[in-house]
Amino acid sequence: MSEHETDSAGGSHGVDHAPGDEESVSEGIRNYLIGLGLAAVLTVASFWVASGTSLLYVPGVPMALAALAIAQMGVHLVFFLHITTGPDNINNSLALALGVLIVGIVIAGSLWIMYHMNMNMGVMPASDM
Amino acid sequence: MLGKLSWSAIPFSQPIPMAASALMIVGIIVLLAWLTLKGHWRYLWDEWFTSVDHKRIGVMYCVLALVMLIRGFTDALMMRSQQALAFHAAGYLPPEHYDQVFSAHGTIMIFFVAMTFVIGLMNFVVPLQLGVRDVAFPTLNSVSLWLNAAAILLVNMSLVIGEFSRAGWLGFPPLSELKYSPGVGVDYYLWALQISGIGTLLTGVNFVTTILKIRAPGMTLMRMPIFCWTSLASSLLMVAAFPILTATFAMLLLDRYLGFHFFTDTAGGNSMMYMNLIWAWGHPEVYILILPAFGVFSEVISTFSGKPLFGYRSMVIATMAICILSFLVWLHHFFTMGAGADVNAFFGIMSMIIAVPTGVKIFNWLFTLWGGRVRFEEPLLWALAFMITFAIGGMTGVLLAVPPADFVLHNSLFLVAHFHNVVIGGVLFGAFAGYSYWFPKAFGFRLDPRTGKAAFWCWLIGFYVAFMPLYVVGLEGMTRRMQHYDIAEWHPWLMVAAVGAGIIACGIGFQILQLVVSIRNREKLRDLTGDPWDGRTLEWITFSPPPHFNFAVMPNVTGAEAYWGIKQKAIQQRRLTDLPDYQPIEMPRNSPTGFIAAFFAVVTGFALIWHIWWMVIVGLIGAFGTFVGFAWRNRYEYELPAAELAHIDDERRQARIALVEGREKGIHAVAYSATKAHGSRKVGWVEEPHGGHLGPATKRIITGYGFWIFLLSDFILFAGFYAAYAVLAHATAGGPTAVKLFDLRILAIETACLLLSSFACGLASIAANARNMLWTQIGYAITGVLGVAFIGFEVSEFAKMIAMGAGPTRSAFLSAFFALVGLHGVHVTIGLVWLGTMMGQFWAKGFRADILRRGLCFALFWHALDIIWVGIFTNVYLLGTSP
Repeated sequence: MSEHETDSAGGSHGVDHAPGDEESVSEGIRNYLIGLGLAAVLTVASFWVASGTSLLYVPGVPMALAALAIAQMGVHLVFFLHITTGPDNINNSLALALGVLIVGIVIAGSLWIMYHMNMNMGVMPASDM
Repeated sequence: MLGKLSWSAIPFSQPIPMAASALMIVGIIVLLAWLTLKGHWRYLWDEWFTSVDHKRIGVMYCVLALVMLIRGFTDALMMRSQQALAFHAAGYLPPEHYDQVFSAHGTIMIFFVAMTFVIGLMNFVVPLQLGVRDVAFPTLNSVSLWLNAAAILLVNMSLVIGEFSRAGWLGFPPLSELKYSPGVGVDYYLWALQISGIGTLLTGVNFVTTILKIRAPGMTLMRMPIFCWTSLASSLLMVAAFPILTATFAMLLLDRYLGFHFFTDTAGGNSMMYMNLIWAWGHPEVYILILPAFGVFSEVISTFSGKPLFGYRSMVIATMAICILSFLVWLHHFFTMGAGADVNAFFGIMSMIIAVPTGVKIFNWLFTLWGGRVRFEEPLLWALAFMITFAIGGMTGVLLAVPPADFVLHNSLFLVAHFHNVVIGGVLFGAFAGYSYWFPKAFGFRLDPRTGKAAFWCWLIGFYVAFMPLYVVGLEGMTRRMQHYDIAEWHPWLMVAAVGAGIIACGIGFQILQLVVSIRNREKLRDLTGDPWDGRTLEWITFSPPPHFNFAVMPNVTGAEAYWGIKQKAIQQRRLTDLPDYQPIEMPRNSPTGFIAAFFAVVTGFALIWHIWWMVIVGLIGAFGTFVGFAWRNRYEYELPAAELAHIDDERRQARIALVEGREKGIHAVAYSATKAHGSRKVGWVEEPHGGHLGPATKRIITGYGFWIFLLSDFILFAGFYAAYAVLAHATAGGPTAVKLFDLRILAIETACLLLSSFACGLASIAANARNMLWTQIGYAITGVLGVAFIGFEVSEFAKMIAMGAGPTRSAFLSAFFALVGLHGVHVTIGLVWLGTMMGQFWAKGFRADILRRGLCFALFWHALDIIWVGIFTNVYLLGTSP
């Protein structure tokens, strides 16, 4: 370990930014508070949607839950992980985009393929077996 | 005490495995004795085993690959000779041994020859081509290497102790389930590949970070050599695809060890889900292998044609297009499983589309050769053979991509011929081209060309003689993996194929001879200038072999084909550039971490295979201790003074004067007008200073980015488990459903714990960055307490479910639920152990830059667990219980 190693938290590179780094103390605390508040609101909303409230059209519940989940993931990304779309963050968000794409392909592709196979091969729903 | 291990594990009654293991053991003893007698151990340990130098690591990867090539090829010879003999007869290999041979052949050739070789070349070349001194995480790189070696050791141990898998190179269930494969063979296979898979994933993370964050000043992305681009694409695929393999194998391991029901044929398990997941890894995997080979061919063809690569931009676009498209074709490996027309049509069309960028590349190489001053050296021969052979393999591939045709050809020897056509003709020829091309850079002398050309012709002719007959018998209906057969029409073709394998054996013999001859004649073959092929990329600007710091001064890149530009300018002006301003540099210290971690990986893997549970614990504690020991060290770099650099570099400059003054045979100036390079809008060597790229990023950015890439791979791991859960969610096999099981009150408390702990962790990072020890420790302590509470609630929830008969062995739905939620719980637990270690480090060492970087990574990890939890609590719990 050399003594003169200094890479300060903000990153001195100008055009580049480490994921997760925040700017100053007050700004940082404010960001985390906003994030916590938004996340709490979205979590409560999810629980409320799932609680079987009569205010919602029942077949729409899965969609609402998915939308709330995606919104909350976004909140965590922006306010906790500090992944933004700013010019110093392009590499980080591009990597995230690739990850999201692959996650989507794996989940959606698997569901589509397996659903189709079960339909075609006449597999009974396993709960009836 | 020793689990399933006993003397009966050693196959005394089977002569062939016993002879093979005896030979292997004698060989190892002779090697060890020779090393001891000659007193080479100290040198090996100091200079190689603990080395974190990317060049040494690359060389060790290639050595491992070449040794394993011989092992895998021996299996191939056994299969070819068995099939040549087993017409109306039993042959000499009994079925249970034959099944192990073909399983081992595929596993070894893909994971421990092709992957290992490709990663070895990437390791050696990429930092040199980028004009930098090392990869992003040098010690991690050594860990990757040694984990790969650990896996190789486990696979070879199976030859002597126990048995290897008989379930084919991908271990398809239900055959690979405990019910049908009760022995340790499948366990050897699974644990070896899990260990090497971790190594490969870390390599991927390392190289993505290196290529995107550590490049010489002026080396913008569009000025990178094509090999760096293909290595980037390949590394991205490693990061994106290998977690899927890890997830799939983990599910099969849970089935085998803990009675889960992911892929069993009872309790709602679905073995087709295994095919689906493993090929979602398996198809990107073939592009992980072939893309770097494409990169090698691009470098070789351009160098030996004396021209810049034709269509550099289209090559980059084609490479990145393949990178994405390779994730959209996986179903073509199981067209016949019974999906309907729309699924098969989609994946059939995608498979044909992916041939387009590959075709673009073939034309780029052809046009590079066109009008060039072509020199038929050994690397170029491999490249030319590749272009012809790969085109044939590609065409049979497009044929197989047509679903109706695939129903006829599926699992036939036609398929076997096809993938050997692309893997040997593409990956292996690429590896050999790279081997002969970069050998002089690695060792300072060229390989003997005569024996090399003999080896080349044996390989090429042997390949065609061995595999073209397999296309024929495939069309005649012969399925793969047959131990014996009675069809007379097949027999002559299989005899011819066996002869082909014999010719390839001669090729390997010549390659060994080439090495011996070259080492003997090394003085005659010596490369004095560092640029034996009239190269165009930065690795040729330094010594052969390069000093461990690669470049005394990082080259200043002013255009595409950085070295070619510098060289041409020097030749035109008949002088080298001015003496640079040497600055002291810092290099990473060597570390035994990788070697020791791999030692414990072998202990753990072996113990798991044989169910020796106390040894598992010993192995895991050892591995953890190794990493803590590594993380605790105070000195991890040393400084090279400027004077020493100047002294070493002077030698290099002396050697280069001969080159610049045109005294070196074959190297001469090229007319300005003819040399419009890629990436340059102007004709000639117009200098375009740094192009906006100032050089390597700071360590904090490098570390944070690397960890972020790792986290993305973790998301993909969860995606694999989540996909299994989504598919199996209704497979309750008559057992309890989600509505009856999940308690939303506990879920709400768990969620609150995790959310608040994330908030506390965020505040702790702010305090750490502001160098406030008290608040840092308080923040982390609250994080930890809330994390422990979360785990406590989760464990009690699991215990309650198991107590009421709703454990993971009850149904496929519950298996998938416990695995998915449990995986998140394991992550939280690992995070807590990490947190404890890190708090200790902050306490003992204060706010040192490297510990602050770890704090950054921990915060990313902890916040990412929230994101995963959001997915789990909404899509598993809330959706499962909602009306």
